[in-house]
Amino acid sequence: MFRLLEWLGETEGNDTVEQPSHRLLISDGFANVPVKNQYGKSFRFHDAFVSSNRALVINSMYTVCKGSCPQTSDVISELRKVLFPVFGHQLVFLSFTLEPEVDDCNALREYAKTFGASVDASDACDWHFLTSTPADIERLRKSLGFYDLNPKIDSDVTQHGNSLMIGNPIKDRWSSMVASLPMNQLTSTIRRVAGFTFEQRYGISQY
Amino acid sequence: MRRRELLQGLGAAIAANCVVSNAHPQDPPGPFALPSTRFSANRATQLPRDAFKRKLPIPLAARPTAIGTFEELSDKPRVFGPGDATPIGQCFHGVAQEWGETPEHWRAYGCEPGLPTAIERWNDKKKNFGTIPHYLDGQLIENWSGFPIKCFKVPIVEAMHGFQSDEKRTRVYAYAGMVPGPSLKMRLGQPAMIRFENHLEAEMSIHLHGGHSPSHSDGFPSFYVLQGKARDYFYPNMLPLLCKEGRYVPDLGESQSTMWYHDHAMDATAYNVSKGVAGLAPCFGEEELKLIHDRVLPGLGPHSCLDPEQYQLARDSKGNLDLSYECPENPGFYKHELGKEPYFNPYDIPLVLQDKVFDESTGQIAYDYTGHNGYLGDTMLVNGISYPQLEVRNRKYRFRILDGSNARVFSLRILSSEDFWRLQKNGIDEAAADDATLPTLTSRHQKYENISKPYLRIGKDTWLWSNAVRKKRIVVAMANRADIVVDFNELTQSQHNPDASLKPGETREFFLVNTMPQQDGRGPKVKLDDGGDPRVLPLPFDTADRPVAELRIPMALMKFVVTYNPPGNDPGDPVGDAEASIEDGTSLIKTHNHISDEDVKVVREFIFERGKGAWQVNSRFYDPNISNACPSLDGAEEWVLKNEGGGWWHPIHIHLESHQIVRYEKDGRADEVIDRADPPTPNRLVNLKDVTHEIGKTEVSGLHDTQVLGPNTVVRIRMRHRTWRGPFVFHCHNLEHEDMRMMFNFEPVPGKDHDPNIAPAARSHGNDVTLGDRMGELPWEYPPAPASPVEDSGVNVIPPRPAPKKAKTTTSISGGIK
Repeated sequence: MFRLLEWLGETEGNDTVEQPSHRLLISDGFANVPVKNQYGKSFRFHDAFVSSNRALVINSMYTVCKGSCPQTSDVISELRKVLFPVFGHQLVFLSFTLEPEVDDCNALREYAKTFGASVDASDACDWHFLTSTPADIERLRKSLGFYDLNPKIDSDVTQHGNSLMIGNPIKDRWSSMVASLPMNQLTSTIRRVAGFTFEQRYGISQY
Repeated sequence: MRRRELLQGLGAAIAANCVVSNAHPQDPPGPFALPSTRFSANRATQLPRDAFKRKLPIPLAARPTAIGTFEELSDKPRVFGPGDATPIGQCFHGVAQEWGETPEHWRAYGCEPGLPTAIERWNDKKKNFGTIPHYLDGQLIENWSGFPIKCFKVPIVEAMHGFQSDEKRTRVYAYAGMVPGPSLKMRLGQPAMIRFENHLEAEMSIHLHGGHSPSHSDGFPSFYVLQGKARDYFYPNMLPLLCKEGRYVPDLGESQSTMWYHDHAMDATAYNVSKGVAGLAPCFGEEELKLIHDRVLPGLGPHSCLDPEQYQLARDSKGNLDLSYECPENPGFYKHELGKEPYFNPYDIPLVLQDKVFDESTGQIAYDYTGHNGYLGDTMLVNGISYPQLEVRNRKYRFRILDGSNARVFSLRILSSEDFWRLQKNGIDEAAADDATLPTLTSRHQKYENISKPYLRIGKDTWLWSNAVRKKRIVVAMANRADIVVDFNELTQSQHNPDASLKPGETREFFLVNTMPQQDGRGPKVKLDDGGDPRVLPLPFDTADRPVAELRIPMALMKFVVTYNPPGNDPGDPVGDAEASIEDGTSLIKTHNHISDEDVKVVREFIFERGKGAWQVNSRFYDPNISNACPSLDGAEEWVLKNEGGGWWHPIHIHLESHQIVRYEKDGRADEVIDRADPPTPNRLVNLKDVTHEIGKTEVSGLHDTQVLGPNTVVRIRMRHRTWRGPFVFHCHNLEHEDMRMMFNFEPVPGKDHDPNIAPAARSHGNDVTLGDRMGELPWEYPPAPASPVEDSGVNVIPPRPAPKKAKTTTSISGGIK
């Protein structure tokens, strides 16, 4: 088998595998719906975030949630500070609302204020709270996999899960984690899955 | 209405609701968001035009890069090939530290813990294990014997693979560039040292499924092979020891037969495995070799028991490696030929079953990230290609079948060509008019039973059974293996009309099909539009009498083309091309050691359930840094595995050792009242009924490593924990569930005074210290236990075991904890 390796070694520098005309990415299916953040700025979801070459942590929330949202948002406000020295602005946190009827940009901004995300921070990763029309939020939510297979649970916003979707659109690596896990596991998984460089991912030098 | 006939008695009214809810499309508009990657349930019954044209590929066997004793290999460059100067254990992650360690508990096996160097400790272990006398049919056999160590190197690379056709190439992750990975042929008692070198932009952790390997070579989820790095996996291929009358003897019943290896990295196993990283690792032990030697099992008799390179690599007169052993197109792999490949056997064929969705526009694998319920494919693959064909002779063949899919459960039947094509056109309901008054479920089952061809099942999972059992249908869930023997001579003979039997020059065709209805990753289920039963399937076993739901149109997997060439005709067979003697009931493995009531010291309960949008065990998410169970090393425990999820199937795989079934219980009434969307409800499992007797005696008394929990099920299993201290994991082998944290750690602890309710006081052995002083321990790898002991969850809530039928044993445990 070592000769296979030699063969791999010989062709190093060239691409050892032929390139397909188009590489299918997991994120190809994420909806490109118009969204607005807590400052009222408009984006198209896929163009602005998935194609922006930045790592993403995505969750769903709504401002009047009395369940898991405050806790999850608290975790995120911690994560964006802890991970800033590792990622800088290469990592973006996105929280999209499940109640777009109620949560307009102002409501989101008020909510963001509670968690220190109402102004751009220089010592923490960006954190956007997103809203849109109910139909577009629905498309976004389904395309990102934030749904339950049981339609009764799925249509009840109070029963939404508290998972964080973690991904790196360039490396096409995606994973999900429950936000209530211990902080060291959240940070290590986000680094490992969403990191760009060896150092970002494993916390040690490659050499 | 046939459906009505099924819904009898109390269940009827509630089940009628179920019918209504089933009428609405409940699945989200996916599972794949792109139009070109949509899952099509019908694809499997609409065969492509070129189906059954391509030949079934047989995975190549990897050739060792070096063979020798530890002294010969230690500190030497190039033992992993001329291009690799790094000696054993000096790659980034090093070698499993267990290689050169002798913890105190090995004293019981005769080893001396105080020896100063790793080589001495290794040789001491080898000596003591190798000299324990053990007998098979009066003949002395060696256990961890004088066989030298075989070194292999397996690069994990991104490659292109033609799943659907030779032209349409798909990007995959692959062991040595192959899908499935190369066969790693193991010999019991012969250690293997495999350097897995990760060339991917993803971290890997390789699990040898079924092996009795030390923790640092077992694929523990956070003991990675990082991107661009390598780890030397050390597989001792040794048997655990059994204490009999105060003396330790090798537990021959644990001799592995069909192992496999696949990725096990945290949070990403499902994606990685769906991209191709899985392969087979058959292991040959004395008892199985004897069966092959004596031509009980198909093969070339004694010639299929030989490994030409067991002690050293073949070299030519100039001392160079003899390349005539290797496949010219694939240097580094054995030629599939007698006298070259170890244990060469043209009648022992692995079948790795997988399913994937392919993107129509690019031909790439479409992995559905959003469907956390389990990735289900619509294109069936055998050994990495869709709808292959295999030419066989009219004689007996052994097939080692592995369900290597992420979430699909198979129900396997063999159909004749005529029946298969008729069913493709008309479906089973129209075929062969039987008793029209029977409900669909029963009549389908009967019709399938009438036309299915019989074969012998000889093993489940990693181990062979005590005897061969005649079957017409077997259920194989994720990670399960089924070892079968098909007699193509019997299939091509016609008892009533000898003229219809296969004659020289003729061929006959048979199809391996899947009849399991499954629409999503949650588990097999029947949709009403398929004309079937709205209830979930009763049991994940090939039950003898109870009819189970089956597809109207069977899903083809592959085709067998039988040519007339009976045994005795092949001049290439040095022992006269004799037929295998195996038939229904033939005795196979006689050494399985039953775990009795007296042996069980502890009972633990584990509840597998959905929670907070992911999956939990005992209401907890997996944490790689804690121990969820600390059994006594060398002891035996009984574990109660519960699945309350109404529609979810969870195949539970427990690492380290085999387990045995004590009792399989099922709440059939809960099956009848569930909605297909099945929210978890607490009031299930109240009408439990023991269905163990339906499984079949041989399967119940056999060994398992992956126990399928169908919906509303409670299974009691028993297992021993021996040799290695851990940490090890057990988890759901629906890989998406595993990634979403349906996993627990267990860590056997040595010592007579160990309290199995308490985590060990010091777990320094759990650290991955192979990084040595160069790096320090990686912060996320297994840390030492906290200073104070941690109470295990589940104290005082472990249910009593039901009293044995005959109340004669007084030693049975009633309270659970010792």
